[in-house]
Amino acid sequence: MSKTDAPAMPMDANRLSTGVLGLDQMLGGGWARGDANLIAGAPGTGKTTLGLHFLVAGIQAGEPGVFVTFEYLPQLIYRDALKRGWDLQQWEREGKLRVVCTTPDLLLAELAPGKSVLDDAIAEVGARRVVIDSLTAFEATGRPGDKLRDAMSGLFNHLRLKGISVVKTHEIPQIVGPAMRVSEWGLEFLADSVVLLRYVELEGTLQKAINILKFRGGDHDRRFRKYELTAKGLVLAGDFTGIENISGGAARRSFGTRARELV
Amino acid sequence: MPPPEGMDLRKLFEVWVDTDLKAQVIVFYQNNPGVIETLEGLARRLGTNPEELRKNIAAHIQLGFLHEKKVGNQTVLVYDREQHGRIENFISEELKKRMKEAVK
Repeated sequence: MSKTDAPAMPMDANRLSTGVLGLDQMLGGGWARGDANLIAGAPGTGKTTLGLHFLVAGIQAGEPGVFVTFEYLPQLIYRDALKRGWDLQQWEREGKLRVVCTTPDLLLAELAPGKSVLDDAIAEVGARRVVIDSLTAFEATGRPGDKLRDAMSGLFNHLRLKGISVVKTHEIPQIVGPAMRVSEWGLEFLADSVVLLRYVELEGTLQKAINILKFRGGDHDRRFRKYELTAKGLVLAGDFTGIENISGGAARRSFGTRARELV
Repeated sequence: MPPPEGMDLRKLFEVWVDTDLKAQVIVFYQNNPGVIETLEGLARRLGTNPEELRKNIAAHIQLGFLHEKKVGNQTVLVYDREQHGRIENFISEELKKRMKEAVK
């Protein structure tokens, strides 16, 4: 079993490792326990992988989890996770994990009064962490923005009252570019923290940048950091010192950097 | 829900070899035990039509391989996870046996 690199950082009991050491450091010790955290990013930036890191870190710390998928079948999640050394099926057999594949409407519907399909999965393994991948599927239900926000708010409050820590992912359709909205319906306002994963074009190469847009849990690193998706998962790979316009998508060396090179 | 030892696995094998779609449903849930779907949703995921699936899936429900549950105002199909390991072992053993027989 491949371990995440997170246990190297001593954790505060009220903080939870994201499963990525560099991100834990950026957050000043991980996400806050019981928070609903949003990972937003373009396709292929590693949102699902980061969500899995969070669950794997939980399982390694003795906290079972539930992974909810809508579009992707569990067999694809198992296959991709196994490439990182995470045997999700084995953890399911051991009662440490549940992978649930359903539709947004069924996830929100009641199985019994006050009890949903998700509550059932949480109870089966005694889950403390839940990953919902991704909220983009809720947009396809045709609910108007305010109804979507209400439904999401209800779901996250329900989980918060159970003391469950949540990671939800959301796809931003833009690959690169200056204009970027996390969501059309104010999803970022329902999250306690927002981690942005994005592509940055730098000198003809598409690189990946991670940034913490918001974190209610405390002070945090505000820089864009480079990261890579490796066989071990998401790994931070330095920063963008001397580079500007990263948030615009087309980064360049800053004026100061270029000036110093001329001297 | 019937006890884990309740399902007649011989009958499951008969279901499996009956039609391609019946076999496809068994393999699908073996690979994706956490799928919770309506009949229409499952048909979409399997790339078939609901009517055809309805006809084929009755045996799985009768056998206890799948259970029907009410979620909100919809009926969903849920795989009996408690029997997952047992079914997996049985199918793998049965396949080995039949392969041997075929080689003879």
